Amino acid sequence: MSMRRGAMVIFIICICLGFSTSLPVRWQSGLAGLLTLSLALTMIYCIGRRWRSFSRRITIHKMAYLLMHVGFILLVMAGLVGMQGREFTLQMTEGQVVDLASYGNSLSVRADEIKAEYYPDGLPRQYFTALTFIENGILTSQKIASVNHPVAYRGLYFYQSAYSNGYEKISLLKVKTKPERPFLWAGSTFLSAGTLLWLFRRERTV
Amino acid sequence: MSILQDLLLLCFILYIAADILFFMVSMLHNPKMQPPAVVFFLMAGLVQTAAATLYSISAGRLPLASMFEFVLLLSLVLAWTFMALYRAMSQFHLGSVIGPLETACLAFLITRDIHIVPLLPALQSVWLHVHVALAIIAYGLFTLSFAAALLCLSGSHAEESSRTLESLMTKCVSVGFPFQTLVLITGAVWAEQAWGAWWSWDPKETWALVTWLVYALYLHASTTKDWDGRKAALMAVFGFATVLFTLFGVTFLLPGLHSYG
Repeated sequence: MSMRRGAMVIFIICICLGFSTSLPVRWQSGLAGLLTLSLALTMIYCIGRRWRSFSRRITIHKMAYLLMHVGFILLVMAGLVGMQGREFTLQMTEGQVVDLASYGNSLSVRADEIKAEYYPDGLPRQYFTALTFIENGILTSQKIASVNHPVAYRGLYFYQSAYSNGYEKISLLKVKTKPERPFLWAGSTFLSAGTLLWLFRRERTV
Repeated sequence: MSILQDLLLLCFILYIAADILFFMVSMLHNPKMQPPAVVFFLMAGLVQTAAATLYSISAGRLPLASMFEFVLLLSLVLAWTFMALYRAMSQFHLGSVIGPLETACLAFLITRDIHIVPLLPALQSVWLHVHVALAIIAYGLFTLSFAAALLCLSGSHAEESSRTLESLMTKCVSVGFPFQTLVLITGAVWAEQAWGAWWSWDPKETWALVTWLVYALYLHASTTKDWDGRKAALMAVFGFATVLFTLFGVTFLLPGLHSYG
């Protein structure tokens, strides 16, 4: 594929991605996902076509290109693998124990303490839930989840989602499995490394 | 906050005066107005700096958490970047584009209610500072490339000056694109920590990706045989249009998780 055709593919995907945001929400992610998958497949094809020229004379420039393109492809793969993940929401009160067997996990979780911090004007600053994990009746781990500080345990990730303090304190936790994490971190690392290499590039042979 | 409102209004008036003087130099070819144009722009920049500093002291943090704060900091960075380019490269005519953009930013700021909102739980993260700071750098560079592109398209400059503008435009895109890449990555890391979803096709995320792809298109197309200064300039203008929609269009027309306006 020539660079001109590659540029045309990018242009069409840009237009379609922008258009997707005007669609009903239930169509947006599906169309956008398909478009980025198409872009990733185009990148794989282009890398394959240009591999011989890449490997003939390696420069920092080419390494940067390769890392950035491979990083993007890995992130798209993360998106595909992430579709296999499981997600559920726990609404817990203080002292409540939730058996996660119904969610496919042989452990229980107890919310020991639920609290919130507030600014002087009453707006919320942070929400906390102190969690204890129980396996076969044994307390195995205690961790504190707060917004932007999720808790990980046995492949489950607990995100502090919301808090309410009406009749009793209630913590809303979003729980996810994250099968895409290796692809996500690899893709982010490759893309960042390629970006930084390209930012500080010089045309030198390695 | 009345002092802040007064400072922003003063800044707005100074930028209008600078715009008139830049117009007289660039369009009416009156070079005697060049020194006062620069002086008024500098004065506006100093008042803007005072306003941003006062806001930061009042808030106890850098202005990074709302659309008001983002525009306040972005316009400040843009103003000083133009002053640095003018000093280093004598790029006076960029001011005839940057000036009106600054005026538009100040018009936005003075029409908003100034209300320092404390950081909500989702904003209690170091990634807020990193992500937004990178966005300011990226969008500032894309704005500069737009300014250079408009001047290239106007065709009213000597050949050497046009080459300098084209070089500046390309360099701004070449440096802005990596920063935009890091904006997307840091945003995804933050979203993962805050919401457990590193990418959820929120309209702001989608349009930030569109912006990234448009500048990727610029860089890919620049390697084709028939690429010239005019096509580069048109692409830079198109890219800036996507930047504007990402920053303002999405916030006011397509609300989502990024609605911190």
